[in-house]
Amino acid sequence: MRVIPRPRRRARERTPSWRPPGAIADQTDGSHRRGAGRGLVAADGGAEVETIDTEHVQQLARKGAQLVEVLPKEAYDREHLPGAVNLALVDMTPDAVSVLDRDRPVITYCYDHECDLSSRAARWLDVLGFREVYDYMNSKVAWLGYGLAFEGTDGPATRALARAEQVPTHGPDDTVADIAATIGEWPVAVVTSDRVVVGVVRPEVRSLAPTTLLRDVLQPGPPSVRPSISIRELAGSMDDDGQRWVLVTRPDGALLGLVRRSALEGDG
Amino acid sequence: MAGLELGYFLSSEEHAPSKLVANAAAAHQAGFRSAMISDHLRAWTPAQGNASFVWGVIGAISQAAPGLEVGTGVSAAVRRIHPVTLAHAAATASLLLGGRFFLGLGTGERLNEQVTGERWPRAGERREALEETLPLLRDLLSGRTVNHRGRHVTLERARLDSVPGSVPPILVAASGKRAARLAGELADGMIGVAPDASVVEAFEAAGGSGKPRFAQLKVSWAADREEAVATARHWFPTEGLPPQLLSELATPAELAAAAELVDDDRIARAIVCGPDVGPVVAAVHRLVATGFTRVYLHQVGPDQAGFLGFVRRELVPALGADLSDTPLASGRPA
Repeated sequence: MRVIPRPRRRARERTPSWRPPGAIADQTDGSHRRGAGRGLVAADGGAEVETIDTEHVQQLARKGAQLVEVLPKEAYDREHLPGAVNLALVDMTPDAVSVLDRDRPVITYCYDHECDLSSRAARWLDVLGFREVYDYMNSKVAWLGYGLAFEGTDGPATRALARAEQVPTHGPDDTVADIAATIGEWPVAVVTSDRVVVGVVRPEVRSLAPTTLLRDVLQPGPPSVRPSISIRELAGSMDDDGQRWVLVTRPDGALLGLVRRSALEGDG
Repeated sequence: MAGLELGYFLSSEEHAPSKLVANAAAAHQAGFRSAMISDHLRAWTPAQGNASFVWGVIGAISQAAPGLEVGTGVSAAVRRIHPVTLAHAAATASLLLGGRFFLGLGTGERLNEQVTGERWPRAGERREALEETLPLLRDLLSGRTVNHRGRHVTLERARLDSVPGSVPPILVAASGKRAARLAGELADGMIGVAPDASVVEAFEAAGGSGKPRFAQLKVSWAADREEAVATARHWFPTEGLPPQLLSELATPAELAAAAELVDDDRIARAIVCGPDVGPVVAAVHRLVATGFTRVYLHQVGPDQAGFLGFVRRELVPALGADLSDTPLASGRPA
């Protein structure tokens, strides 16, 4: 299931296509210094920019880092990280960046890790003399995929997470007897200790012996969506696929809830 | 929560009619409360060699195993048998069984249905015919006079004089989502053969929540595994074929020729083979885990008595089940 619509291609084609030296694309979400050990110097721009993951972004933002969305205004208006300012890379002249505080850390982000705008914007700010610049390479798609707060015209109320309900959880070594009290008409989720979904158990298993282990009767790979999918798109895809429910999970597989098709009625 | 529901499957393609009646009586004696019987004009392969008229067999079972529920798994509704005749047969079956009857419906196989000189319609057209036919069968089974001129069926002043006190449940066979949707919308339940949760979900999403879903599970139980696989190969090599072929090939000889390409491993993946109870328990668990509410056990081959012994001695205890827990789909007391 496609979870998040791709940005309009125009948003990328309009941007300049050069890259500062030393910027090697890296699609991992780990935090490390790019260019370190390659003999590049900070004065060239790029070597001092650190790629950071979603958790690190939250930590820095709490400490007062400035979030900069470098996508065009229309994309920013639809959805952006809380408190972020919009400086589209095409408009990022030395004058325009004066709205940013050079004494505070700056985090750039764009659409997703395939999109290179945040990496290029981060290097450009480094070249322009910003002292502490971070590249949130996984960007908005990852942020929204984790179900974190965001702002914009297509705000949280339009997304699946707003219609999700809690779902009872059990471990794979719980038994059919253990679910008797929690299971109703809807499945229960079987999760690991870090809440990553390994399957669901349907109510029909209550007819099996009470000692039956859930690991032997769970459905691996139940349908799941990210919390950021729009209510309208999810309703359409569930109708196409004949689904009454889907799980809402983060990109790391952790459970956020369950959405019933019947909960998607009404404006999103 | 009620216990696990188990039923017994009668394979019209494998057994002579008198043997089917005897097997039904033996299964009832062994504790089974419900049986599902296949409705075929032809055997799947020449080696099977049987295909009796199911309605005659059901009539005999009603007398040989009084109290046993019987349903078809499954009858096709539009080619070989006219809907009015199908309703007529189902009404009589229900009367003879004291109401302990359900009608399983499907879109048919070319093997059984394309024998009247008509072309063999594609699957979508057959589903459309089933969709048109199902409500007509209900009307006929309720004793109404039916006039209908549709795309697939014409009825004029059609009416059954001998009808049961209540319309028997009508279940629809589904192996894919489209048939499952039809079953959820129109039928009283679903019949399936594969542990595919997405098919059950499609059935529920279309209106099937709370309605029964019956599965057929093929087993080749024998004292040793090699013998079990050989039995499965002899009687049901077609289980290793892609399901699309089953509804499209025209003769038992064609199906047997295709099945020669199937190796033993593939057959043993499609049919639970061997003496051990564990794999059978696991297969039952998989079906229930994907949302089926009842499993009809189909022992492949002639050794039905040995299998019934295995069910009582090993399978029922291993499942923690009780055959008397199985309620009747038709809602009629035994």
